Amino acid sequence: MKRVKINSLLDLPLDGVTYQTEWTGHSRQGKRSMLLEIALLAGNFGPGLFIISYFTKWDVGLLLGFLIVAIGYGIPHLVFLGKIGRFWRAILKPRSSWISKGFIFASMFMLFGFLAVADQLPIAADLFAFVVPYIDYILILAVISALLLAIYPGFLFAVIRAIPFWNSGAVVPLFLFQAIGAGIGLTFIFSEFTTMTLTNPDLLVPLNIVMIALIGIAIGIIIKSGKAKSGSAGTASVKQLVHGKFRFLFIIGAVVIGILVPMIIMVMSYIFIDQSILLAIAGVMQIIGIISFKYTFLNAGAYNRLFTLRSMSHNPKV
Amino acid sequence: MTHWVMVIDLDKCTGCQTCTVACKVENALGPTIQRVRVLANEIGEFPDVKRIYIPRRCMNCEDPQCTDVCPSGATFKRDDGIVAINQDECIGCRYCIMACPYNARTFHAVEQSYHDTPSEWEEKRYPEHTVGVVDKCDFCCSRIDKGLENGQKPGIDQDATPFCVFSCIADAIHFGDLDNENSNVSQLIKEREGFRLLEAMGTDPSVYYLPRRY
Repeated sequence: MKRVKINSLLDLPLDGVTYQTEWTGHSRQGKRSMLLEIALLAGNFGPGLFIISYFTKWDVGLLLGFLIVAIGYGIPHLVFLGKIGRFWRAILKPRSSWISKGFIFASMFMLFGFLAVADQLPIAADLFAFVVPYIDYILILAVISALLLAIYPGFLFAVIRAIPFWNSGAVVPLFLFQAIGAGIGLTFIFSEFTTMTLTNPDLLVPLNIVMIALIGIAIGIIIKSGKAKSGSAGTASVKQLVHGKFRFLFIIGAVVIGILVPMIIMVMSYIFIDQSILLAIAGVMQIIGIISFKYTFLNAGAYNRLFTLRSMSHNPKV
Repeated sequence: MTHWVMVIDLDKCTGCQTCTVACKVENALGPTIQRVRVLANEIGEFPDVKRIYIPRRCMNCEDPQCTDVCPSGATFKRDDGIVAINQDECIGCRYCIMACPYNARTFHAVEQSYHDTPSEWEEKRYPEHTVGVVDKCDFCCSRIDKGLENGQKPGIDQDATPFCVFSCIADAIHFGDLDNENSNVSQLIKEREGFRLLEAMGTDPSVYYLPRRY
């Protein structure tokens, strides 16, 4: 039993909020897994790479983006379910549940994405040769579904009113910016370390600068809105990130490595240094930053306290 | 219309956990599964210390957030106000656990019993909460339904009343129909100005607490 010393008996302190544990695998039965964290990242990186590869006309990037989603997003989600055999039921309530909507978006992307990259797959190329005349339309549909797939997790978190830290309007755009930023970062990495030729660097560098800036602004808004919900779990969540056990991962990982250093590199690259290795380094840092943020974001989600003494007694002298 | 509510008298609750154990017995729940939790907190400094107990279970909200987020429709709201789970439809995504502001739900991750082999009662009740699905208090709706079929009155007749209600040794838990102005729960809430947890969230919970008077 935790002893607390407070000035007023009427308001209990902020300590003792409950952090969400189910989606980070710290369930009451002690089964730890990183399945959802992996799925969350793959559901961000894969669509992002797919979208950027479409505009840079990099076919292998399309394939990689699709495979990241198929393997890194789909399989962990399935394994995470308590009843894998009933997975198809997840589509039954698209009007109200963002999991149902996400299932639809993911299915759309798996279909159109597969058709878009089928010509690159050894067996499928011949079987799906019939789609070649329609490839432009299929690619557009695949990009749209990739966009929806990248965005929907933001809604998934933002609609949970029970966790004030997640219940912010900036979460949805943040997921989009991170997806695009990750796509650009991965493109820089692959262009440096593979035979891929980077097309449109004049477009990607300033776009990445904008994305990094928007990511920083969105994270700042989420932190500010979390703190603003004073007396609630939002403040506790922010404290965990800035002062608590996640401070190293958040400040160093998500902010410094993920935003500040890549921003400096991008600006320098844009203005006067034309070195592709720097772009790749910035890309690696962006990826590290997104991983750090998603991990801390997921783990820092806290529920409101259920009661204060004020709500329990009519006697102000209690 | 019927609206089943539970009223808990915080004056009488001693934190004995009888309701917690009674629920586990009635529903044959495993060692790490609890539908009822009695939250306790100490305040003040010796010698002026107080201890507060809040028995918490699913609030069976009138505007439940869990039913909206459930992708399979396994969690649903009955006409009598009880929020139930169809264990045959739950896919175990645990979105409802995340969405519940009261932390009232539990996921069955592993098969478990209190002894090396399940008891006869545990085996009988196991199909109602298999591994891989979410569990929560449902006001013992099966007891209520059966009692109503037999012409009994929930909240008055034991066989038609949630098990924790009549198990409470302090008579701190009451159960009845809020839509009936003359019911014990309606009168208690009115007389003692019953309150609910996290009312500002707009969930409209069906569990009321009678505030302490001392």
